Amino acid sequence: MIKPVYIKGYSCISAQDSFDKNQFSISPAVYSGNSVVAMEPDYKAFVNPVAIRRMSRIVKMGIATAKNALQKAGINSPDAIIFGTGLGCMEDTEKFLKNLIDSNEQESAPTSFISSTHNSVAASIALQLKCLGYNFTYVHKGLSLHSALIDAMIQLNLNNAENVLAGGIDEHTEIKHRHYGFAGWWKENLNNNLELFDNSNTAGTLAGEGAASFILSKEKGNSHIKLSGTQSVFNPKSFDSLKQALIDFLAERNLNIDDIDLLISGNSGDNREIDLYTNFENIFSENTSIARFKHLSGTYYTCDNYALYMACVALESQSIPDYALTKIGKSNNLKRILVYNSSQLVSNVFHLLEWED
Amino acid sequence: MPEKIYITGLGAISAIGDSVNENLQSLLAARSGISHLEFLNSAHKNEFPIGEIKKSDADFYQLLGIPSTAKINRTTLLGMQAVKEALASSNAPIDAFKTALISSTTVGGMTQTEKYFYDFDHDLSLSSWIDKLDCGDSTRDIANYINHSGFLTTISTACSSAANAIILGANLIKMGIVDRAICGGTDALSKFTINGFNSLMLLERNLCKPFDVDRKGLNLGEGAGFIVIESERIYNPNRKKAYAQLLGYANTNDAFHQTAANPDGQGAYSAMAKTLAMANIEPSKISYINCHGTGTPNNDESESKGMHRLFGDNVPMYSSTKPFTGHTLAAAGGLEAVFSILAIQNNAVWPNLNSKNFIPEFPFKPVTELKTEQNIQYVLSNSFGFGGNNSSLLFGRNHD
Repeated sequence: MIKPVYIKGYSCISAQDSFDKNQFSISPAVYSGNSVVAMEPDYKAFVNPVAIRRMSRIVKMGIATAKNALQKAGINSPDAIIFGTGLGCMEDTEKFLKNLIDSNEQESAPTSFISSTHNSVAASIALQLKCLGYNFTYVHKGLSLHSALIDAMIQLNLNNAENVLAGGIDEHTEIKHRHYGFAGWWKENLNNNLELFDNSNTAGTLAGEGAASFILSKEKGNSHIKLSGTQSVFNPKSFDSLKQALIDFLAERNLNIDDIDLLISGNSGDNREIDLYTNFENIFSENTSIARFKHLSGTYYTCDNYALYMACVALESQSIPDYALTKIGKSNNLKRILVYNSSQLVSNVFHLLEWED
Repeated sequence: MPEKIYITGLGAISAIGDSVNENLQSLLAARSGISHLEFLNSAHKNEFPIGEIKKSDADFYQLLGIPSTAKINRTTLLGMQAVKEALASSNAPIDAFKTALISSTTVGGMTQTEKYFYDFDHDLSLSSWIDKLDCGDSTRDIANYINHSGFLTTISTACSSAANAIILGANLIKMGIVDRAICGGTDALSKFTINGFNSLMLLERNLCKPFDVDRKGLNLGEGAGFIVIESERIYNPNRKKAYAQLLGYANTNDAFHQTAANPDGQGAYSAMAKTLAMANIEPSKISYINCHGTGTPNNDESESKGMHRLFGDNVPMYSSTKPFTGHTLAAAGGLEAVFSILAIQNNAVWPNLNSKNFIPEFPFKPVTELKTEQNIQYVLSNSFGFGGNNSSLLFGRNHD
């Protein structure tokens, strides 16, 4: 079986004040309407100013989290870089497309074509770090981050790498907001992000974006956060088969449902998904606390990156903010955290994080 | 002894044929599939030769038995065709083993995105296309088409994508996460890629001439190539004798430039060298290299330098099959894996079409005429992509 790995460093850019933070902020950031935007750091600390101007926003977010996470881990360069992104570089794709259509294919800008490539983020990080190792990009909707994490664990387990940079990233744009709105993704009449779950009787959710990087290693070193496993369940035949997959996932690690101190649930406030999430949250006994994250991060294909970041901070700070908690469990520990997320009901993922002294 | 990985299924569709056998017949006849666009309505249709598959989307709906009301993009349709063929040829149904489906694509549903981009705003009947156009959706539809519900994912690392899908598949088997993987890539032609490569001045206005001193660029193409790989745990030659074995593989990064390979060939060299090291095979044992060989000045120079550095003056027989199919981007590594395995099966080396005068600085040149009755034991397949992404795969004859 694939052995657990350790998280030596992590960094997250999100709609919350998360960058370079290993504590939760006292109060959450509030956004009106049905979308939230990433709080971007000052990139000058991570990229030279000349290069900044040429880089797209998503690439800058990726590089900043990568370098920040490496700093935390005390590592100059990883042996492998593996990213997941649901939709890749939307801004440049849209720019190139508009240009192409508006000019009837007579004009096109090479820079936006280059930057539109899905592996731009992982490639740009490699270029910045001069990292000649394994470099992969996964683009599979709600399974994108899971794919990156499982590949990272494989690289470490096969001894192909000592340290792997793995991350998830997606950016939101006006056009994406409009288009996915037509497809019924976003909740109408949402006053602000914090009211997401007050409107669970209507369709749609909150749009968001974000980037997170994790430095994974087989050696524990000074790290205390263990990624014990990540699992996808694609298109389960019934809720019971999803539940069984969870039980099996935990049993393979000699755990049962009651061992989970905190569930971070991907509840989206969308009435089409409410039964799934309610049923899932109800699997857990009175022992387990439950927190939600999509009112903080918004929904994007790799939004489980924010949940994973939350789990790291919760373990390290031994705290969960009230604004994320929906149920306080009896467990006095905060040692085992399960992240559960489902995308469009078919892409289900579990990530299990544990504190190790 | 490292675990063996058996290749038990092959699937291919490209401008030179709708099946593995049709592709093989074209390779044996040295018959290129490069033509001009008839189905994709690009402003550049008469300007650039291209490897278009001469079937409409409606033809594919019919061929694959998909109801006309379904919304399936062309990249997915091509992938379905090749995956279906690969799975069928392995003589085991989808639910027979713990299986992964790993596809790859660079454009996903771009053919539709570019068609409807502005129409989405005023035609709500198109809105059900919107979340059907990303790369992952294509794999999800392929999975549903073959009733797959196990591990699945999608890779997008530009032109090395399908080779990387095969690498992940092999690693999943080695880790015991699955026993079998269907892996490869698919990409349809789109205005997006035609204009993109044109803007980078990488498109050839005539037939592409890989490794020719006068090469100007590449011809694009479309297609899908998938292979089925199996672990030793489940391999049974009585069910299906393997076409070949996957002996080694590597992925490395140039960290040199976003779209150009390091001209010193470092990336190509290290991908090939690491692949041979994994397989513990001496360079002198290699019978044939199916090169990335796009026909761009930069790629062919750096790939040649990489080969020179690894093999010295004794470079094995090599060729690029891109003059047959065009550069099929994410699919290239999958199609060329199939072509490499066919080379072993048929003891043949596929000709590097169109090229005549070779880069003088290298004391070797590609095979330009079809060679049969060779003794092909080990074949390297190279796939290099934007973002400095370099992958090599090593296939060997199966004796088990």
